[in-house]
Amino acid sequence: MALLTIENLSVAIEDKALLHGVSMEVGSGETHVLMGPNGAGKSTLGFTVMGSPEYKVTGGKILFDGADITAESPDKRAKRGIFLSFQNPVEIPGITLSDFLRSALEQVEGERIKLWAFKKQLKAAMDVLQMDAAYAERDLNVGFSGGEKKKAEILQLLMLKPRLAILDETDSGLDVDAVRTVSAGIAAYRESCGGSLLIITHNTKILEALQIDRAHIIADGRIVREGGAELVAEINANGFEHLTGKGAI
Amino acid sequence: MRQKTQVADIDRSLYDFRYDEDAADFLNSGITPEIIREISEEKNDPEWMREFRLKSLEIYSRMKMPVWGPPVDGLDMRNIVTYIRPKSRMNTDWNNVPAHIKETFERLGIPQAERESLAGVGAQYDSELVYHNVRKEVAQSGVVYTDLESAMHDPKYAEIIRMHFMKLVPPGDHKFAALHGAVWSGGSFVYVPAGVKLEIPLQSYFRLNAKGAGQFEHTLIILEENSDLHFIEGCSAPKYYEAGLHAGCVELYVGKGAKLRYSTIENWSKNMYNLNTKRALVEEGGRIEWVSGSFGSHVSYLYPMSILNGRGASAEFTGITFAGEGQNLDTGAKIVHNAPETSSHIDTKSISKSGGISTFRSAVTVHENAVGSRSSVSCESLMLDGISRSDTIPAMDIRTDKCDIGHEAKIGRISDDAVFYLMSRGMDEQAARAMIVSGFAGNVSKELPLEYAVEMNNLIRLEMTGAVG
Amino acid sequence: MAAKQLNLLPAPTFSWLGVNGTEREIYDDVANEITVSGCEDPVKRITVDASANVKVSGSQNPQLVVMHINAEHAAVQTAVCAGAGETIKLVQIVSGGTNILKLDAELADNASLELVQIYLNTADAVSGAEIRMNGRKSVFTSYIGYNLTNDNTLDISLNIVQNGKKSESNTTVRGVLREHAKKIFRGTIDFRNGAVGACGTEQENVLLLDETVVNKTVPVILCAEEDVAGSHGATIGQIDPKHIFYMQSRGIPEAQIYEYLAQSQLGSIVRQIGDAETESGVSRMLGRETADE
Repeated sequence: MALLTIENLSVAIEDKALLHGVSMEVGSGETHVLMGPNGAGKSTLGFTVMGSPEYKVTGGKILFDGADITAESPDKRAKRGIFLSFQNPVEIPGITLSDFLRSALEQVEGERIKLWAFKKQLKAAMDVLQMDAAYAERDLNVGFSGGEKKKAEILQLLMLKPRLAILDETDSGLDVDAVRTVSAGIAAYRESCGGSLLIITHNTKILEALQIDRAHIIADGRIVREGGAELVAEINANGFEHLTGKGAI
Repeated sequence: MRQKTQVADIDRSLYDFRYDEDAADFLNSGITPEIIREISEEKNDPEWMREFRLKSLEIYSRMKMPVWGPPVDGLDMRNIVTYIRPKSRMNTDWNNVPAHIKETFERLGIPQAERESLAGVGAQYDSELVYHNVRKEVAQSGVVYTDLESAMHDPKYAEIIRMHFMKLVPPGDHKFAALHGAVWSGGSFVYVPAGVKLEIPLQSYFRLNAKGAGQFEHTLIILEENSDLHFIEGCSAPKYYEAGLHAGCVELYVGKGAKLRYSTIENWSKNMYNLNTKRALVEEGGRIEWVSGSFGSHVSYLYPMSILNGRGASAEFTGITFAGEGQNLDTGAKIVHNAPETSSHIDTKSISKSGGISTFRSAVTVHENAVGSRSSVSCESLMLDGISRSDTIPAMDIRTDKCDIGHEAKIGRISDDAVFYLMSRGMDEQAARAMIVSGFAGNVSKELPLEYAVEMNNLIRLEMTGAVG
Repeated sequence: MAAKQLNLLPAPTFSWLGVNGTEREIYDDVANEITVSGCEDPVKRITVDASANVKVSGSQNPQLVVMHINAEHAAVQTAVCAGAGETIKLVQIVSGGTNILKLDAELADNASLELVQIYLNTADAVSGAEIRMNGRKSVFTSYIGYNLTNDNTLDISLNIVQNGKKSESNTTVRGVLREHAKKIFRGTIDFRNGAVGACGTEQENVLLLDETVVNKTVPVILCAEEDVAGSHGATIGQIDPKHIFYMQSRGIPEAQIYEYLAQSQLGSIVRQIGDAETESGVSRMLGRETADE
């Protein structure tokens, strides 16, 4: 049985249909990539799987580990082991990154966590990401640069160790070094818990270091093509146009 | 042509002209019940209106001057003649308008404007409408656009006017509203039936043309369900050395799902006290859009109020105020959220130059029942020199938790970097500064019909560099 | 006892808003005289439980003065004088009954004053401050936090007068209102002519947690100088649904998020106190557990 099953999923935001009958499966421990041009519905899929109240499911369902989670609140999904890295994580003044992570970790693990154990774990994770320890005591995402925000998201991934991580454009706007660091973080996550990955991207740089099990191409809210890692190479060479039927010569 | 680098005043030659007052019926300066009765008699007011005027006068004499805002001590009410009527009567044919009045309007460009795309012109010369015409197709759609005084005597509209007149702005609202109630004269009445959407804007252009004369026109606009109107009010008055007073009143009723845009470019001469009251009542799903430019007047108190009274009603206010030498312009907006899911947005710019004082003043109130409402206010002020003044005095009164209210304000000067950047592309400093100020005013100019936007940009350019173009 | 007009708005506005000032009875009881100047301790803690006149002046060494104001009813006047180059930090923790506070501060050249005010469940507090930044390059930084519930009322007026060239002021206000709490915050940045190169910012963020609260915010900027930069902002209302979703997506249930964010609302203000003992005391009063166990 697949870890994540999306069945014929249709989604709208304020009466505007964004996804039309999307189906896909992500198996335990697998790495999938979801690609497509801007506005194709990639982020919509990520937000819907996480349960954002902004996106309304108008048809189909989402199963996680066999349970129908279509109507579940985001925190329940998080407790089941779903994680979404945000493209634009919100800034929350007054709460430090460290405070926040500890609360989240206690929720996900369902027990209180000793401070020293937490600090040690946090330090190790920050080292992987070459993050200055001072960031832990800064307010959550407040005044973080684009790159720092991305790293803070991956830090949470490393700490929360979800069963499925959906990474939404984690590589966009990063320089080469930062992409390398983020990739190292993703590798560390795989190593530590063997979780599944669904990587949403429209470029392929971040995928170089990863073993891709399956690629899904989305356009205009529909899956238009699926295949193995070779599909990524094909996109690299030819772009999306020939797959989506748009701009074909 | 070389541009003059500094001009203390807008070049008003286009506007500063007037003709000797002919023997219009001057009433005594100062206001007494006798004068009010005379006005009422002269206008052949219905009984209720005469009572209304007298009651307003009583309120006026009781009320105190506002305790906040710019000083109005230069204003001596005993010297304001409240009612001047030129000899001409209502005309619907331009050819019958007396030559000198016609010339005044021609110099203001009204007939041309009409030819160009305006639906109708109701031009108030002194206190009476002297020229009036609504294009046929507008009239055929059932839209009524006429002067308020004759509409009051028309059995078709008498009752609707009685039901709405000064109900939104009651005479007890403030001292100058009471004065208005007592001595109002002239103005427009617009009625748009349900479902009618006017594609072209209606325009009114009025001005003062008698020494020491007050102007008290009343505008009453009623939009029925799902109708749509853009009304443009433009003002310009010639220059006088005695203080003039403008205490007009605008009442706008926006029905369910209707949309009204009310645009004003105010350019009174710089001796005018402009104490104008404007208010809109917006029903469920309706929308009011104010576009407001304040350039003229010696002193202004102007804060159009939007009362959002039905679920989902919305208001938008876009304004610019340019205070130059000798001007104290106190402008802004008031919003009352009085129903669920209402929304409002205020976006204003103000510029102070050559000793001018501009004040942005606002009030956003969110009542207990306005659950799910939103409001955002953004105001920016630009100081063009160190002898001017710019104040920002917003207030918010919020009485429900289910709302999102945002406010931001900025004050500063033209950035040296921006000037340098433009100069590095070949502009001289004055032109660069003028361009930056025009850009600053872009929030308003992009909301105006083209010919008004061009006129406004010319005003700004004149004030900045002393030349147009 | 005499009624007195307090917290007058430097530039009055529409009377019907009821924000131009407030009126209270002043109890003319004998005030304690407290003087703090050039003290040798790095931190000076004062407990004020009755009317008092407090005078704070600086010295060569930076100074931290922490005042706990908690009285049934009291009038507390504080005068701060920061001389040339002096650095003073004043912390006022206010709770209790009817407390009328007045703060007058004067800043000379290169002087620096940091003000932290925290209002916790004040039954009825009226707090007015006038900061006169006469000195060139003087710096004023303030952090104001409030947590109000029941029928608490709080009426604040902060008037920052910037006379000094290149003077700089920064004001951050964060608060939570619950139940029938009522609050007015008037914050004025007044750039006087001649304050060339001055800048001032002010930001208020108010979290409203019950439909019965009343919040009034009046952020004023007065400006008579060209070469200045001023800004103010206010955000008032409920918790941003985006924040709720983000925190939920990391596993925190919705009901807990409200409590968490309400407690954190003042977190960044409390952290500015800079005195561990006071910080943990305030955190306890806010019902927030301390980080160390």
